[in-house]
Amino acid sequence: MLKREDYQQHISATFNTELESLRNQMLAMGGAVEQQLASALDALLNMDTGEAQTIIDRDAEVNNMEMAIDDECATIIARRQPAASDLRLVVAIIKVNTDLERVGDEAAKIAQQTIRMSEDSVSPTDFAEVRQIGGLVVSMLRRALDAFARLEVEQAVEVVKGDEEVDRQYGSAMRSLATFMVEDPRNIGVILNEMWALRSLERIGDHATNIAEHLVYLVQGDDIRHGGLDELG
Amino acid sequence: MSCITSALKVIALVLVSALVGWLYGHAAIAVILTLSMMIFFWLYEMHALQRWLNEPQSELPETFGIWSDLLALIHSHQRKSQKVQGQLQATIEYLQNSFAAIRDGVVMVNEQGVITWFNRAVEPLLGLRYPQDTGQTLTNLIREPEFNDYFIARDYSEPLQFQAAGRNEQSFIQVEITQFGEGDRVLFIRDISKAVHLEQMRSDFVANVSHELRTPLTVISGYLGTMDRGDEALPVRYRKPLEQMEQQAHRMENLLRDLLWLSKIESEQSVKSEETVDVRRLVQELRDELREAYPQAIITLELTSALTVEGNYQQLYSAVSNLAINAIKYSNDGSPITISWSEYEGRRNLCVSDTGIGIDAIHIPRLTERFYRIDDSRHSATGGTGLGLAIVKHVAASHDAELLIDSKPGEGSSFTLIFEA
Repeated sequence: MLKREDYQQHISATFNTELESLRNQMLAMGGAVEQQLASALDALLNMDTGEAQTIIDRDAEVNNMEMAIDDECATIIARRQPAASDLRLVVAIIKVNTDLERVGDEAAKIAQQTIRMSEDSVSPTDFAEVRQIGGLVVSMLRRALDAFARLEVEQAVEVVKGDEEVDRQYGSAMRSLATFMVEDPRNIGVILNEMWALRSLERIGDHATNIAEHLVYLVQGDDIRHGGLDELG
Repeated sequence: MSCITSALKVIALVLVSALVGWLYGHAAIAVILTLSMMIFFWLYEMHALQRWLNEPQSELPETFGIWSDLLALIHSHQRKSQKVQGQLQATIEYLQNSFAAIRDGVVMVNEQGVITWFNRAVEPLLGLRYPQDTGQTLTNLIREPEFNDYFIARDYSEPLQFQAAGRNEQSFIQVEITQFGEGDRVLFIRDISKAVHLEQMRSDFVANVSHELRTPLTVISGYLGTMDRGDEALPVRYRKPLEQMEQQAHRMENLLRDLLWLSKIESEQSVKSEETVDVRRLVQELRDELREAYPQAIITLELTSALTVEGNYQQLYSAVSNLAINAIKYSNDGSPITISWSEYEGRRNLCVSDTGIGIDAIHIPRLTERFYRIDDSRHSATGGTGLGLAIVKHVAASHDAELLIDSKPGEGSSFTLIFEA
């Protein structure tokens, strides 16, 4: 099992701080992405186009953070040639980094849908599905990052299992939205947009799951993607 | 003392053994034997002492002579330091317990931002886990970007308020940080959701009431406006009251307009990035408008700077126009008012000054309060709403500007908006 103290055991003190600061940077980016997602949901539920535009503009900041972290990872690999758990940390961070950036993109997409929907008619669904799935996904992302901060496998496994619930709810939301479209074809435009927003949320759930899986890989060295969860026991 | 007696004992023992050995004819061997036996005995005693020191809880070993004195000394020292340690521990526990009992959250963080201690009240506020999260980096667990920036910047003169999203319920958190020692920090965390919601309710209430009152008022003033007071059919005794009713209805309309405007700009936190405002154009536009409304006023412009301000044109316009109208109202006819836009050491100053009646210094601190009046005799003459300077103050705040009021009774006043570089 990997512990936080394991980073403190290098002969080079700067290597310790480099790894620690890399992790801090990644979690700071996580915080930024979490906020993007929360604001995007708020903007969608309140049809706040001003807020939505801010989110779209702020996506560039998240992208810059991603590039900075990638750069840092490459530097560490080149300069320190990490092995074992250090290498796993760097590899995991490279992957989480990509996932986080995608979450940021999806949040920006939700904001984009918000602007588009505000120009359309009012949705008849009252966004019950978005509220429900959005709440789940926000909590998944938060728990995945918390698990990363605490290096806690149990929490990460919970997140991976939680994705099934999101998928299930996503399926039933699609069916219920389809019913709305059948009932009144005039709703098709706005409901299609809502479906896109839901699709983004579902993707964010998948990315949160990925982040949790990368953590299990980091701590235990096991790859639990693609059905490896059962082996974990 | 014991040292001398021990030495005497050793000498006596050596002498006795030498004597006994001499009797048998092997004095040297007897002395060597005695001495080596003594060394072994001392070694044994030393060993016993060492064993006891390793395990102070075990029973005291049986020792003799100098060793028992040593042991007694060590034992008493140990008991004394144990007592002191116990007292210190009790003090620390007492302090920690008192911290832990505080209803606000308390987190102690070291130079690197690692949590060294926190109390249980933090758990529901920030979602930390008590006590496992000790040793974690604080910003890894509280990832809100506002908090991160605030925490890293190390400027803790103002407390930070932020929305802790995503936890059980959306709550507003206030954090106050104090630095001590070498970069160590202690955070006091408070849930201020109730206060924030109350404030929200208050401003919503004002906005809603103003909005609701506007419709009936429009009807009243509309009818009053259509009544032709020159009409012969209208009894003369009604003419004056009708005129006053119309005046007051007009005042109420102004009041509601200002209240609505104030609650609108109150709800906007920062407008800094909205647009680039050309202040020179704004002031010129304002002068043209004032010329229409107050033809008798003399307005001088001193526009020495071409710099712009990031913000909201409409808000800035309303602020400057409120200042200018005040200046016109509170100065005698014929005395000029000046609007200047200048820069000084990177700070941009927008100043409205007059040579009118001025304000007594005791009123200045309260001047920007809503409905604050210097004396009641004035407002009926000027017809202001009492909200003008409150609006100016809010516009200044949302543009990160400072409002400086300088005035001398009888000489005039100047109101300056200072925009930091």
